[in-house]
Amino acid sequence: MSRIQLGFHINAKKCIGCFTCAMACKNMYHQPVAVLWRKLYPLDESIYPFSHRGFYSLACNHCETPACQAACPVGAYTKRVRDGVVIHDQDKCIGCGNCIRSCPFGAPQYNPVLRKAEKCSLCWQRLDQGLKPACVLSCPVEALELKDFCKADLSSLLAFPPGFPVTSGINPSVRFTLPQSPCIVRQEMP
Amino acid sequence: MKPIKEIPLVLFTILSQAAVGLTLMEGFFIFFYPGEARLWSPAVPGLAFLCLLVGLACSLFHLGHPSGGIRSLANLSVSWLSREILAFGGYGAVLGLDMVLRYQGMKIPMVLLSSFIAGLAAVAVSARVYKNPGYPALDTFWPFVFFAGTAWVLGLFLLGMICPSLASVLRPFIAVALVFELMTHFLAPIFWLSGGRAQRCTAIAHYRSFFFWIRGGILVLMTGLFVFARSDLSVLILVLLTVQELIGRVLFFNYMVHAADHIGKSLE
Amino acid sequence: MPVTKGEYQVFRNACPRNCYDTCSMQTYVKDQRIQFVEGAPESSFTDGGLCVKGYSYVQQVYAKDRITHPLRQVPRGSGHWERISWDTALETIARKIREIEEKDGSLHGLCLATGSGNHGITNNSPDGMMSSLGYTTRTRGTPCWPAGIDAQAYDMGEMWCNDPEDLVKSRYIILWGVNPAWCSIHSMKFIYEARERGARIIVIDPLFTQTAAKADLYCQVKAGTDGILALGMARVIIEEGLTDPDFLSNHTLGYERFTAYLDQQICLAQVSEICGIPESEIRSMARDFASIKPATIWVGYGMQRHTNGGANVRAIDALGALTGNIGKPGGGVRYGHKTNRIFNYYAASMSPPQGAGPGKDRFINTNRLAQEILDAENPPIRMLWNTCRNPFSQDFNRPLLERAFKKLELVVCVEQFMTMTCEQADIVLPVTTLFEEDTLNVAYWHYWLALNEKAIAPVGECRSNTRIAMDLSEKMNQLFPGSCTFPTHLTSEEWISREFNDRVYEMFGITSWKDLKSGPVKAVIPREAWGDGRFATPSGKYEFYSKLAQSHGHKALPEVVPGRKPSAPFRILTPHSKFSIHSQFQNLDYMTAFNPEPCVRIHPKAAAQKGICDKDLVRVFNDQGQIVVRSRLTTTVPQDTLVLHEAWFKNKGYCVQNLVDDQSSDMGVFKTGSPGVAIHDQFADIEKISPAARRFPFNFWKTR
Repeated sequence: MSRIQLGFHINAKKCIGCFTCAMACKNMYHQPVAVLWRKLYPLDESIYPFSHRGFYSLACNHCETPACQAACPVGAYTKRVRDGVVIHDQDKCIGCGNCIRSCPFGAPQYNPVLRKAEKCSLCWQRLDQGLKPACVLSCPVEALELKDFCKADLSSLLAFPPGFPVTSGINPSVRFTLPQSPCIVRQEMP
Repeated sequence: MKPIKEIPLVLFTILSQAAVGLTLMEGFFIFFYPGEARLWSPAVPGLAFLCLLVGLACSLFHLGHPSGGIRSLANLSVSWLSREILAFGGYGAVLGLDMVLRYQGMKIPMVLLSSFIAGLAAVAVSARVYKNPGYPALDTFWPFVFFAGTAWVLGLFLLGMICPSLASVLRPFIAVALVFELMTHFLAPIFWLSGGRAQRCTAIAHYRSFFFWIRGGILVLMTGLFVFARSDLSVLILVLLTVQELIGRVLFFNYMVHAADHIGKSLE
Repeated sequence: MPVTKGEYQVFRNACPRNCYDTCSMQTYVKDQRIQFVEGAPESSFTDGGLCVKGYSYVQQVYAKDRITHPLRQVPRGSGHWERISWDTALETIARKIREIEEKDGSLHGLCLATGSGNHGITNNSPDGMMSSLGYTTRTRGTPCWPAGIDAQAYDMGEMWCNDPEDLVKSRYIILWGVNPAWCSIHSMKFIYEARERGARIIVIDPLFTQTAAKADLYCQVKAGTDGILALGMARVIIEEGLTDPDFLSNHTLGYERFTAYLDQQICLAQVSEICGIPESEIRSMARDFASIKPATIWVGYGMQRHTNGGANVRAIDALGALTGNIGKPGGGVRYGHKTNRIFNYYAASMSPPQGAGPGKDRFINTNRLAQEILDAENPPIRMLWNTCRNPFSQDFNRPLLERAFKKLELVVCVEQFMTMTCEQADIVLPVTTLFEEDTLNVAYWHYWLALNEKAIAPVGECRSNTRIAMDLSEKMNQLFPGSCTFPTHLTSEEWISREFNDRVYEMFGITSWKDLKSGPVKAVIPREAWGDGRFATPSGKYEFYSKLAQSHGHKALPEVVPGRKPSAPFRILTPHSKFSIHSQFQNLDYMTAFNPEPCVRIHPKAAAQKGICDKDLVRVFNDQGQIVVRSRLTTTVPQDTLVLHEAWFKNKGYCVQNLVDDQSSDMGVFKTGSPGVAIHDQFADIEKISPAARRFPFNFWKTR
């Protein structure tokens, strides 16, 4: 059986920064208000010439060698063999916060109600039923796609675009397409 | 000012490092100053053991579920945090043995050597826990440098408090240790300024923090006292030293900038 | 019956917000509680997904601060609230209505203020409730789009546009003053597909919107000068012979007069000067628009919120007519449509009780609510029934509204949350969300019809607008027999079935409204808007020269009409935010997590002149009022413009209407009964109050 590694293609060229994906996640899991499994990161003007007009929509990157898994003292993180999804087992978690400190992408977050960590599950329960993850389903412009990183041609996509933490050895399952600017006609006033 | 987080970990790291510092410094002086009778005092492993015990107890309170603390040994094969618990457990066991033996009047160098090695390993492993990609400023040798500095200064000073007759011998050592802490305190942000965005922001966060300057001030004062004024070892100074260590650790746990805080921002 | 999927019961719903997209929804219920919502997969427009607002609905339903039982505030505005029973609330209201009638001899003292808060078709019931009591005072008009509606009515006879899904057939798309990336996210996929098929996407807007960021070309037009730009383009098209002679000769009226006007009055250099776009760009855009076929223009609602707003839209319409793009697949000048407003509106159409005698309703301009309340005499407006509307957050000239409300004797507010308007009410009645009532929804943009099923029992003591009307009717008749004709015992099925007629069934190709239980349906669209070349104008042609417009006091031709004179250094624009529809949604905690604080957006150069840095606390002010808010420096806004997105931030006191007055726009009376509002012809100044958090000790360390 060939290996599968699911991952996200963040197409910032198409992304309209509508926050739909992030809210679709809240709609599905109703995490406490401050807990956001998926977040939109606005790009600053050095990456896209207008602030808050380019975005990276990021959640857990389901890394090949997850930092969270390496940090967890109780073995709450497992990486599924069948599709590479990194799953956090709430029952095992003791809320030490070490995964939160360790993940350079900010995926695990502290749930103040449960006093445990949690993160994007890639909707594995939905995947197992043949459904799309909530965020991917919700995207109105197909700017957020789920791909099998073992099979898909990723050669034209960026692994570490500007504004995304460069890491070595973790190999996050996420690839990017950068936003583009239109031709701009505007009058500069004195 | 933002609320201070991770107080249990601040206390745990300071106390556990004070304990290890005592063991290490005592070992050092027993080796180099074998004639000093009071060095084998049972109070030394006694105080270290107490510090470690309180520290470990404190550490439980940083867990969302303290009762699950025992399970933290479950992932020894990959997790440095599991190994840290094991290392401090091992160090605590040998230290406890040493203490008991000494109260029985037995001075066994091999036991001391074991606790020396276990303590050193525990601090090293403890520092390794914080070396991870989440905090680029800490994904370096700095956690070990900070932890070692704390162990060094507090170990020496506490040893001096237990063995007052050693004070004059210890004073220059304390001065050197303080110079080391002073240098690391001010050098670390300078080092970070030449790193990536998160590291530079960490440096700036330090420079903007009152804590950074207060600790720096205390360190300058202490260093001055020991280098130029040949100060005595007093409870007041111990308090001040402890305070600056606590502040340093508050900085460590609160003023590091996480890699994810800067997603979407240019590396420039 | 709802479908069962796995462990969930699945209900059909339809988002009733005042929004282009009017999404068809599916609601997943377990243990009598909504677990999550999704977009209906059947709708090719919604395509299985909602938006950031739609996905926050579950929190709206179960929010801790939702009002779930009637409340009374004594005295009004004091914040002293007490819980009362429905019976007490309705009796108080019924007795007040009777008191007004006895005092004045009519019910003109009772005024209904409704808005766009819920477009569910049976949510017209408050109108029916008023009619069933007698002759009352009604708000007439809409702040939203009236000037543009009239403009299109003068030009073509009616506002009507192609199915938005046909945007994919277009080869040249001008998104003119419209920001679908925020306000119609489901339209974006059609625009993207058009581009994949080779179309060019042009955005013309005073602001560098999110849609502009996705375009091929962005032109920053000065606000309110869209009409002049369009006339400049029209001149180029005529000059260079790029018109569609067949269309012009067969289907238009007044082309020669229009050409003559352009010849005499429009100078491209002047146009460029006024609208801020270089001549060369105007020329190339005009050439492309005229030569690449089919080309289409989507006209946003912002440009007509000006004192010359209707004129702006008429000038743009003319571009579509000159090039013969109107009536073509992938063509047309798209603004909106009402072709699906063919229901019976039974809930709204009640007859007065027998004792009411002859008479008629008194109408007031909905867009000048404050002034109208102050001006109304003989009798004065004594009681206001407010539903689907949040005047203290959304109505113009808020300071004046505060004065006007003092004149009212009883204010009843039908609401879900303690809005700024509820704070000024005597009685607040808790109303259901879309999940707790049965209704129907159609859009003014796409052509889908969706059923909205009751998925859960009403939360707490909440009641739908229709139920409230039935209950008030029952109370009125119990206390004063024969005083109200509103039905008291119709089931929700009956309410829905009474909205249907053969035209509806024919348009949507269904035989029973119950067919909608298996999913939304799309209207059978025989042809493009005006596809047969027959227009609904008096002449049956596209009218460049409209005598009707002239008779209504406008120019007969689409001419240059100068905008409102600035009264302060900065123009203020108060457009929609992506996180809210007017005052809905932004108050939810889920939304606050994404958008915690309001801000005023200012260009860095303008900010520098005012000594303002990012995140400084500033005061935006004009003669009417002020707002204290944090600044955000951004080059997305022009240097002479401040942008404050309209929204209701719970507990923040932020209200853009402190600065926006109720100046009417040029058109709107013809089709909507009242003129629109020049929402974007507003001016203010800005000054710094205090800097952002101090940076100790090294202020020169600036993180960007």
